Amino acid sequence: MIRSLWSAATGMQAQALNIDVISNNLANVGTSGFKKSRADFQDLLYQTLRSPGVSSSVDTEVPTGIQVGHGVRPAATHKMFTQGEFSHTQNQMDMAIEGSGFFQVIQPNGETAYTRAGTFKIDGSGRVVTSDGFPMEPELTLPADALSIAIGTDGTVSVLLAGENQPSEIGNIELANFINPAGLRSIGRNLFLPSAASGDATVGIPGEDGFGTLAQGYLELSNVSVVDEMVNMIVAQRAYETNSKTVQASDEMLQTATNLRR
Amino acid sequence: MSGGMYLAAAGALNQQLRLEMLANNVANINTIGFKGEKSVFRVEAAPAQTTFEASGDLTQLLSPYAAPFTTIIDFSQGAIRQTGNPLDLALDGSGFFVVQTPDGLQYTRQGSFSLDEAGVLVTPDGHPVLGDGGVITLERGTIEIDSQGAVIVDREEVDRLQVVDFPNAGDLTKVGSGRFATVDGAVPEAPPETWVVHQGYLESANVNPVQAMTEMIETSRAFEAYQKVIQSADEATSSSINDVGTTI
Repeated sequence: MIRSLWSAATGMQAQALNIDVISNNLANVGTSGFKKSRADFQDLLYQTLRSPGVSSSVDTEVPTGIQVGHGVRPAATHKMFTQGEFSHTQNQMDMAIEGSGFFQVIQPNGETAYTRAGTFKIDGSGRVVTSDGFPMEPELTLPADALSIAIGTDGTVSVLLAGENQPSEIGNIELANFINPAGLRSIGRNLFLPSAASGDATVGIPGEDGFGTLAQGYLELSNVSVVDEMVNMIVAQRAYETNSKTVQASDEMLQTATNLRR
Repeated sequence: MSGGMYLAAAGALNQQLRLEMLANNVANINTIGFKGEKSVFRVEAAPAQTTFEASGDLTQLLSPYAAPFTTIIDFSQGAIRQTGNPLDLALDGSGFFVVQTPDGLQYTRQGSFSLDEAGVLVTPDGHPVLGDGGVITLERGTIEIDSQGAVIVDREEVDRLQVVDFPNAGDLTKVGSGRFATVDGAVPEAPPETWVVHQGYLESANVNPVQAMTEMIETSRAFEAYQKVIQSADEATSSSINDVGTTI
């Protein structure tokens, strides 16, 4: 059968995936610490019907050949770790990372996961936990009589205890980073897991060795730009439509060919 | 039998090839750094005359072949759009990035690069992108790539991206995955000074949807026209078999 039918079908599938990625970005436009993805495509293999450069006679050669492509394939969904905007929340447990780095949290299965969402809370036993109750690593516990908490740009956590007029230091927040954050695996709940592509985590102090600094009372919003996504959606939808026209054209040509014999 | 029927069939097959080419262009309309193809129909008159001269029949001077169909890669510049991602690179002007693959050096304009687990600059399918000093390994830090391809990490130049060009359009064939390979014997050369690398931008495919749709209509109609030629030839043959010699 005519190759163009299948080529157009790969094009439609690719654009459908593109819309999937765009809609997930848009759905998470208000998710703090969310990093948008982008679908990257590559052309599929080519069939060479006539090679360029072969001789067409003793002293002439074919300058261009015939190569027929077979459509497109999704190559990657590329996570983009550009900085999201900051929103001032005045909540003393909200933290934003200015620059690169991830907060570390311990999942219930004991595995360390990484997040940019600084929406931390305090649980019943005074531990600093995520919205899902996963404790921060290294674990940080506030004394029961703490009046207020102050987080320095370098991750130093100090509390003001009842009856004292000098704050006392209770620990440090450490950040993790990866050589290739785009290779991290998203597992939902704003969490990322390392993969073979991301490399191993290196842990450090905020503000040192290329790690970002912490901002207390701020949240990092998602880095999704609604305008960009809308434009991408239009492009993807039109590309889908154009490919569907190719299917129609192929179909009509097949019909024409079938009608040759009356 | 009428030779016209085979001539029309060959023409129809060419139109089918052309639609396949258009379908591939359109399927890749959103592929970064994709270069579309153009069809070329070319009449070579010489073989027709030499083969059929002996018959002395003037009608046989018509080429018995459909015009040969070839495709050429259209290397015109695609639109450049902003992404803000530091490892997205768009080449403005002629030239290609050099990629090391298991099949040897290949060339690409698909600049959506990333780092692998060892900090090596790679294409989306994991093949290293080459600089003047070979594979480019980056430390963590602020990565800047200037307009002439210098890779700067924390204000220190680490390497320079290799950008090469080819004198003839026929030197490259497509191998898929946004890459091109050289035809035997083609040697890359330093590109003219006009190219510029834009960091944080990507080059869109250079496929023009309006042109693609117009060509698609043209292709469908040409295919239909060939069908009519085949049907007419068939009718003529049918008449000569069934009607000639019958008495009314």
